[in-house]
Amino acid sequence: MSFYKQYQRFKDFDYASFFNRLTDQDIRRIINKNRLSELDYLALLSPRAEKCLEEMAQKAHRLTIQHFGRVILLYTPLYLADYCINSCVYCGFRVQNKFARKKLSLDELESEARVIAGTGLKHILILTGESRKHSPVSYIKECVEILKKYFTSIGIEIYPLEEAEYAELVFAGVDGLTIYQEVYDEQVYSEVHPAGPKRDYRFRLDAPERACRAGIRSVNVGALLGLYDWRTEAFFTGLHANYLQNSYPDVEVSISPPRMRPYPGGAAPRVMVNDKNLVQYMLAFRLFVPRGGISISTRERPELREYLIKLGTTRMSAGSCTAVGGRSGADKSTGQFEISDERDVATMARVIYSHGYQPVYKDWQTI
Amino acid sequence: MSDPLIIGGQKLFSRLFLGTGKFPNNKMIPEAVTASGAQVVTIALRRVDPEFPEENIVNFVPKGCILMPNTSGARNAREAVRIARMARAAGCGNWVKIEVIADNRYLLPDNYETIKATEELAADGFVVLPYVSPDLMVARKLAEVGAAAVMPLGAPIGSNRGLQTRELIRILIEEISLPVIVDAGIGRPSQAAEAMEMGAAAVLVNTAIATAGDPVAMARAFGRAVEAGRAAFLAGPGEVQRYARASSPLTGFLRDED
Amino acid sequence: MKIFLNGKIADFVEGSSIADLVVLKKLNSNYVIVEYNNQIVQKDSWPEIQLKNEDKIEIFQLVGGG
Repeated sequence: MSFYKQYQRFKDFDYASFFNRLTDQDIRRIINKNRLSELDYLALLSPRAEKCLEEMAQKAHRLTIQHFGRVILLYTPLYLADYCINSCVYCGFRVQNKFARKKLSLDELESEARVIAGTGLKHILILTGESRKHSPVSYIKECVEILKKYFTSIGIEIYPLEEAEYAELVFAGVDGLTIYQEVYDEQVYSEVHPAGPKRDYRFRLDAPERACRAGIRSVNVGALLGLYDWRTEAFFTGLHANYLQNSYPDVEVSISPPRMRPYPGGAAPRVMVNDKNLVQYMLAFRLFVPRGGISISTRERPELREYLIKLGTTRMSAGSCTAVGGRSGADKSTGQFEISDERDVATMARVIYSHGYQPVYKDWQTI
Repeated sequence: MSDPLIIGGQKLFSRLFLGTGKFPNNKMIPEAVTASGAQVVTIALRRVDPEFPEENIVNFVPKGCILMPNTSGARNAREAVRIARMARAAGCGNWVKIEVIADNRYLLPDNYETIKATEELAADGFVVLPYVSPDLMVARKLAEVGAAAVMPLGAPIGSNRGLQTRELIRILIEEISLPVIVDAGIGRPSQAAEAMEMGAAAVLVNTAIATAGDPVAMARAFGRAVEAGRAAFLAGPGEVQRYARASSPLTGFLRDED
Repeated sequence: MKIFLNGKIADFVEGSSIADLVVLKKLNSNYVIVEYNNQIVQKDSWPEIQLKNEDKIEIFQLVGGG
């Protein structure tokens, strides 16, 4: 099985005329349905549905509380290495960018882990660029062995792996996979990934499914908003999440709606995605996949993140740093992108409480 | 509007399956089948009592109906498979309703043995319709091993208690891509209509018709109820509003930026 | 000769076939199904199967059911 088949079903769909045919009454009827079809979800992503955001928000809010409670899981990213052989036009780590690359030694990793663990966080997301030479699976595994001492949940956001490699990391203690397709439109994908192994669209697209088969506990997918028409990209992300949830009912599926952020000397977004668009995406997804997680990172501004707490968010990063070795200090490198919400974990926790929600540091522990 | 139900490659235009047990008189069966419009008719297989041989039930089923022998009497997968093969040898075609019951008080099916029997018979070319307690994981397994439909019970066999398992059946309808056919427990036409409004693909009724004061009239009533329920489902009923509109806005912070 | 007919012990004349048994029991051969020692046997082979001591015969028929 592959999500690619699902993608092909809607690849040449006439989105414009579908959107044009929708009436306000269609949108209201869909909002009140218990179970949304794929096209219902698409309808809620339409320009027509923008008028109904408040009704969508009320329902999304209720559904989120019903399925997740008034709870926000906190996690933080930890960059292990920024070596990368890809040329993604939107990323600060692309191979063409000249800066002093860095990879954490296991000692350095342990210092970083100690600093993060000191904030109380128990969920960590480790990241690398794509370099099987500098950050091979064996290195990731060594890192996991160390991180296990400090964290109960370890997610990876690294280059796509083979199923057996995922199984190896799951066995070592990894329980989550984040991998963004970046852009579902195959043509645009090829344009923004001009060189490197990441050009293989299908290998990346099927990565979450390989991880599911390898026994991972949770997967998180997403499109990088700003690379292409956000409505169809949001649509495919939702379909992807729904497909994974239906095919692997024992896996927790979530999405991230990351908006492109500037990085030193980087390309501007091709498409602007404003706050209203972002909110519409989150609400439509919540109505389509009531049990799907939604992750909001520190890419977003502090005040916006606070509003989003009640609009379907289930996970937030805090105290983030996108540079390798950024926390323990001495030898900090260049970041992948600029973060927008610089508040530390303790501050975020207070803020979340002030909105009537509980920040959660430890959601589970693999035993 | 044409709205066929396709099972095992057969196009069915009636979504009422009729059982032939417990009729006061076998002669009523063809009349009841005709009045109900049913195209799928269930029968059973029994050891002959040489002292009191019965009439052949097949003679009472109108030509053109699909015979669906059940495996009643089977207490495990092995016995169900044996009965299914015997029914096929008797010329009943390749449809079979798997019914494995090892509990004589409630007559509830053994889902585990049912999955095993389904797997074996589907691999042997049968069109298998397993009768089960509604359970999502079991239904997924059945789909995986080749069932042609899933037949959850609404209430214990013959109890006429309606859709006691409504919530679980609703989940099956939402999650399973196979046709979900509510079997057992449906006691009144209104309950059959309710199952169809929920999105059930069909219902199987026996006791409620066979033991009615006028079985033929009741068969007709069930046929119409199933049609009405199906039509309502296709029409897309308005959703029940469970909440009043909340008062404090959640999106007031958004401004039109563009 | 003793055979097991539908689970019960029954007495039969040595050399009887399945076809003889069906006639003897006044069963309609058009719609009974016979299992001979746990194997389904088709009607056309009934006259050829000679029953032996302690053979197991099960005879079934289709009846009403839901």
